[in-house]
Amino acid sequence: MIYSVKKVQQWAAPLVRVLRTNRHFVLGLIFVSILGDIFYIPVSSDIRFFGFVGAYILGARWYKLKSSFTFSLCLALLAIMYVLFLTTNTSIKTERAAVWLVLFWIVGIIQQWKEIGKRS
Amino acid sequence: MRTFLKRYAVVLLFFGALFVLPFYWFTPDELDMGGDSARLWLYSPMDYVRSTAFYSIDPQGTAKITANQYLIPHILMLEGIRKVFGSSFILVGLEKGMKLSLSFLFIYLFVRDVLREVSNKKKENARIIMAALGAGVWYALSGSVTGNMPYALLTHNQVFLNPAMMYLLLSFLKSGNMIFAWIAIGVSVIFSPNFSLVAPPQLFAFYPLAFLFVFLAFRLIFKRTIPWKRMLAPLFFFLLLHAFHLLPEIQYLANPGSELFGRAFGKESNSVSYFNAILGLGKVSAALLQGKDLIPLLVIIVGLRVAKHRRLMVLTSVFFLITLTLLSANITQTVVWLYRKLFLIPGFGMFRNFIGQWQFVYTFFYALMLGFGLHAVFTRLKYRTVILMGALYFALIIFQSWQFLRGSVAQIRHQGADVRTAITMDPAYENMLDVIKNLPQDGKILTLPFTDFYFQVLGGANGGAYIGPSSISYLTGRNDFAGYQIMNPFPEQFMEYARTKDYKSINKLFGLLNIRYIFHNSDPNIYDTRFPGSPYSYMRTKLPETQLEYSDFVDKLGAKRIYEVGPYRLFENPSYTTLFSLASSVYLYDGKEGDWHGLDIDLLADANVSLGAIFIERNICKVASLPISCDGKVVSLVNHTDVAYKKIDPTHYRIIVSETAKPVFLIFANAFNASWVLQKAGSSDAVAPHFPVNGYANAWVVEGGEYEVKMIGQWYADMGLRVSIVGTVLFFIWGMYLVKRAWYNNQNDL
Repeated sequence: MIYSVKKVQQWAAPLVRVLRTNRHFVLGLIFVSILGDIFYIPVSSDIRFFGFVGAYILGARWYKLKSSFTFSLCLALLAIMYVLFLTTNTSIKTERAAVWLVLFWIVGIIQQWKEIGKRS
Repeated sequence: MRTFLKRYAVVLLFFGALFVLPFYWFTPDELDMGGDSARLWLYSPMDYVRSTAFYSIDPQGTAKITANQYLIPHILMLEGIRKVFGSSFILVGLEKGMKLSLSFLFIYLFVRDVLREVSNKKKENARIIMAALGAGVWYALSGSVTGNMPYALLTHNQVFLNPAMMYLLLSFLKSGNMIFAWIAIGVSVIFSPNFSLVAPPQLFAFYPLAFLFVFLAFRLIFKRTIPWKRMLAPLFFFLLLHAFHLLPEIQYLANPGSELFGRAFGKESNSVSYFNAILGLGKVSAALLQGKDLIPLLVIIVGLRVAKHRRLMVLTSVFFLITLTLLSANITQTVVWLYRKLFLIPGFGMFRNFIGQWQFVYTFFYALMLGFGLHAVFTRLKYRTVILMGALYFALIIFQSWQFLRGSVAQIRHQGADVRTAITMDPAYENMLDVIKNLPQDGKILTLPFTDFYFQVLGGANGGAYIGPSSISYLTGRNDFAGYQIMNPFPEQFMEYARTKDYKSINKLFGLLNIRYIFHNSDPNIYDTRFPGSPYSYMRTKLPETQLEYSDFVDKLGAKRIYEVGPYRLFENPSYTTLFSLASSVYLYDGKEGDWHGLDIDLLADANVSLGAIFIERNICKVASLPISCDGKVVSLVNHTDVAYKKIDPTHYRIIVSETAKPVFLIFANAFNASWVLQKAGSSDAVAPHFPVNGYANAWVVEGGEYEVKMIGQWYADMGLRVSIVGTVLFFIWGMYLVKRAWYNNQNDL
């Protein structure tokens, strides 16, 4: 068992290294995936919601992202949600965008809380 | 004074404008009554409170037991205002003006004071004021305040009471001055409908979260200690002053047969089913955008990004997001699953209509987030830019609310009919109400045309119409059957007899329900022409379809016309059973307890059933060990006994049953409740068994003699009232002591 975990770590190490050094690509991929989820996938999935949010949290730790970055992402999601709201009212897409906004808002709040702790 | 006016000119301008505006919406003779809550207190507060609140009895239909004492101080205050100004119109304007202006004022004060605690007061004062004004105006014109204004329930006063209470709490915590607590308690008594257990969701949705927020802000952000011990005295006075409604409400809540018990502690599965049924209505985007308004949310998120006072923003965000989740529910399937689990908590069922219940606390935290967000943004801008942005922001809000500010509330139409909801009372109807008030005390009323729900429709002299709970019940105190839901458990039978024109059975039904009078409003405007659908859709399937047919229907019932004015006609049914009566025969039937409604057997249509016959479920007959054979279908009770009664008040009657060789069945034609007790004169023991008959009424087996019927819940109401009166005296003494102490302190400071 230990052997297999080690093997996975060895195998994943280059991948992690690549991901850590390609911040724009990773964050861009997450954001594009979220856009894809909003616009192209008809069924909601908590696995996608929490999966991408988890990936973002991991990315935020690796790249030492601050809460202000997350809130910028929230602004982008707000813009998408608002346009969808004006065009399609409270459609599934609008609701999906709203949920993403709330999830990233929560992440931003947690980050900000940690930043306050560090500062004090 | 001049400095005060100068300093607060803008606030006073907004406050004054919001207060005065509603007085221009309605003409002086119009009232916006109707809806679920009746709002007949606007027409005659004294009659309303006398009919509904002094005694724990519902003035409608079968006179169910209820606990409406919480209405007393508030409605009496309205009556006082009406007396002073001599018009109900003032109440309409005042109600709306207070909601708008005070909700603005207290959000403004709360946001201002919190921001002053966390910011540089001198340097940022102008920005703080601008941010607080922005939050206050947004809140006053938000959907929670304006959207709920038509047909508002009394509890809608929470829109200004919630921020007012939080402001007073904050001021009390900051200064330690008991005067703030004293004012808060006084206000809570005047607006006791908002602190009643009969309307618990409003109370429990807001105060626990809002109190927690203030306490956490005080401890974590202002870094101050909370004076827990100093809160004991206000808490004691709160309980003392509210005892007049809390005691009967607790007794009512503990009564498993009460509506409140069912609402609070009903089956978890029922609550979850209700929650599931309306789950689709919870929209996260609509809650976030509050209409179609982007600016506030944009300001909030930008504020989060640039805020200097981050602790405050984080703490407020946490509460904002919690309330958003509770309001919209649909934030991932995991949250929905967790939400369903919350219904396992006893009492959480009261929040099953989650959108309506969490809306107000959410709007409160939204306004706080907006105020703090505006301040965060403003601190990053130059003063001139702040003024410019502020002016644009206010212009935008006012532009968006223009229709409302111009009085759209006064132009609202009834659903499915081009008829205004604002009504001028018809003098002819007022005359009829006077006649009904003075009718002999025994006998209930049936109002026609009969409606689908529990409503009465009443045409106004201005062409408008009132649709709401029976004005006869609420203004004269006379039990009135105005619609389907009130006639429970017999509405289907009534409809079927009307369809088959079985007038004999209808009269027998009236006998069972103690219906002595029939009020027919023959105005074609309330039935034929302007209300072809709601609220008559279902009734029209079996009851007369036009007013002409209704007139014929009433004539065929054999009732005698005793008064007529305008289109209003009052009839007396010569054959009816009095409120207290003795059974002439007993019909036994098999059925689920209390479920007459579901019976297939049509007992009344049986030609042998005469007036005075009663109906008992076989199970009840056996369980209560009644002195008759419980196996057959009919038991004839030959007796020559009479019963006479005297009403002391709606919860207390004296009864004389003439001497009888055999025990007799005494029927009391009010809704069955274990709270009704029969006692032999001079004895405090309750006569047993007390059992339900006729699917809804009370019955006892008695012998000749004098008795008293009492509703024991009223004892709690009377006791609570006494406690509150003593509490009020102590409260004023306490207030005088606080003022005197403050005066002494001022003198010493000088």
